[in-house]
Amino acid sequence: MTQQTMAEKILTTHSDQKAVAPGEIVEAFVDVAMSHEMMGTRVIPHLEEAGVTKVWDPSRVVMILDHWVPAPTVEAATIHQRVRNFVRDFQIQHFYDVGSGVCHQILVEEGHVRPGELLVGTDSHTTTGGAFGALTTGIGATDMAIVLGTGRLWFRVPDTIKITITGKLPAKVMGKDIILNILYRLGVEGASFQAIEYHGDTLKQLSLDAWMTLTNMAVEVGAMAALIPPDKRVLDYVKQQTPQSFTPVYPDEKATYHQTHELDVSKLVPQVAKPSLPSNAVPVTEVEGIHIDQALLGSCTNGRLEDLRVAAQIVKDKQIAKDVRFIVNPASRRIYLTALEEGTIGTLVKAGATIGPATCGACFGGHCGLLASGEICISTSNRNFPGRMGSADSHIYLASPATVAASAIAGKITDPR
Amino acid sequence: MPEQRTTVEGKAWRFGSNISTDDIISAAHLTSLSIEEIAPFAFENLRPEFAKNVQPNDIIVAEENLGIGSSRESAAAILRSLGVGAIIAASFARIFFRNAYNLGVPAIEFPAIAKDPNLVRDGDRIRIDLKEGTLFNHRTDQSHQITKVPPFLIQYIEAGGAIPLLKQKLKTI
Ligand code: SF4
Repeated sequence: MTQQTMAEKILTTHSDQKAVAPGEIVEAFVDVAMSHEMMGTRVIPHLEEAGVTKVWDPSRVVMILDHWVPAPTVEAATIHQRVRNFVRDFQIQHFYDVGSGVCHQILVEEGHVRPGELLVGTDSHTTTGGAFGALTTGIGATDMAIVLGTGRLWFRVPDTIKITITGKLPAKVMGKDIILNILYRLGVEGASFQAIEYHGDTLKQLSLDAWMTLTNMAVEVGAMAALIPPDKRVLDYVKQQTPQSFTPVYPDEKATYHQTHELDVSKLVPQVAKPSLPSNAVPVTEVEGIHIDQALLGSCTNGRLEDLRVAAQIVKDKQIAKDVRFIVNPASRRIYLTALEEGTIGTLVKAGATIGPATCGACFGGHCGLLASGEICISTSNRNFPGRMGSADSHIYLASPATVAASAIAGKITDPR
Repeated sequence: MPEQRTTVEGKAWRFGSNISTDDIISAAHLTSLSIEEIAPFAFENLRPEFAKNVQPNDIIVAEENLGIGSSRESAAAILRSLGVGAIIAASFARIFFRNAYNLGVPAIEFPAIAKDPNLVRDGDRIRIDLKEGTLFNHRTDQSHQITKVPPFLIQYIEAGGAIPLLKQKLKTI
């Protein structure tokens, strides 16, 4: 029996081939296809050009409006309208309208990500779903047109990098700090064309929210996907969200890894990625004291319950610095509601936070919290490229929810410990 | 005539490692939606003469990580619109590689070029055979092994890209 990694196994079970190996091109059957505003702008024209009048399986297509929501411009509203018309005309069965949440969070919460399956989405952070044992990857608009028309897509089987995380994570150090440190080690494009597989004892101590942070940012070093062998928590969670059956896959013991890395996190300190690359991480102590104008808590990287709770604990009974805007975007309506009911939102608001809708919003400089020239933001999101959140000469530091919350209170980059 | 499309002969344009999609077409030009309009700016910083002098079927030959950076499809679209017949590199960034095939331009790996950059020099006349996986250099009179394009992707090249192929497929269903 060929010994395979998770990505190799999933591509094998989804193709006509007996066993696939890295470097091979395979045509694979897709289980779920997700698109968002990109559908309205770039995919629909391709479908029209090709003459696609029905999608291969409307029950496997998920449409989510999350980037420009609620619509800040007439153009955005028109894009949304186009997507809604598409959903109606093509009888798409899963549609999440304005306010439901950020696509990668919705896919997981609504049970569309299932262990062992293959999911594609027109968004680079589609890697997030790999925390639930699926091969989930970002594709372009042309790719999506092919998938919607035929249910299949070609893939180059990736090499797999194995990252083993061990050691007990110190207090106030989070999953985000682990991934920032991993990105630093792998470097820009360090995982290009490859899949990452996470292993190690530390995973057991981490919440599934943190697992999603680890898989979310894998794309920042070029990875096609990032997967974690599903544990009982994952299987139970998915079964709760969906009646659909699934077959989890696990890596073979003697699978071949292109590279292996080991990371002991027992002495890890909070990390901050300096402008303008996510892989620019340094220990927080090196950037402490830098003045900030804005702090953002949210996005598909760190807008989940655990993140809001950690931040609330830090700002409880305190006030944010008077020259700082503290913006919070829960990653989904469900998260928003739970945080509201349990008092987490109240704590954040009392400290001076502005709660925005469950949207991408400020994360990609769309709306609801842009930066002016020369301004500095510390953010829990995933990209700090120049101009990502507004003016081309604003600056973004990426950090964990704990570091962002502590910095919002102090008005400068601050070690949360 | 599909058979003709699976061999490409042209002049090599040599590039080094880590050429980004920004190097191929700077983001400043992307507000224009017309590929033809922005094609003259291809490689404007690295090789400003490229867009003017490139001939149909010329071949890009680069080293590691060709096409890193933003996933913009326009980078591959511009090369196609200038008539580039094939793109060869020691390795590719994932999305650039996908975009090239989706637009009907073969992207082929030639790992040896990173170790011995003299295998193909700028301006060499080369011929590649996609199905056989060979590269012949007229200057050196030598043939080299390159990655074979699998039959599945040959379809994309023959059809002229993913959308024309999808059109054909839908007709036959
Ligand atoms: S939250 Fe940010 S990174 Fe995530 S999908 Fe939205 S824009 Fe992209």
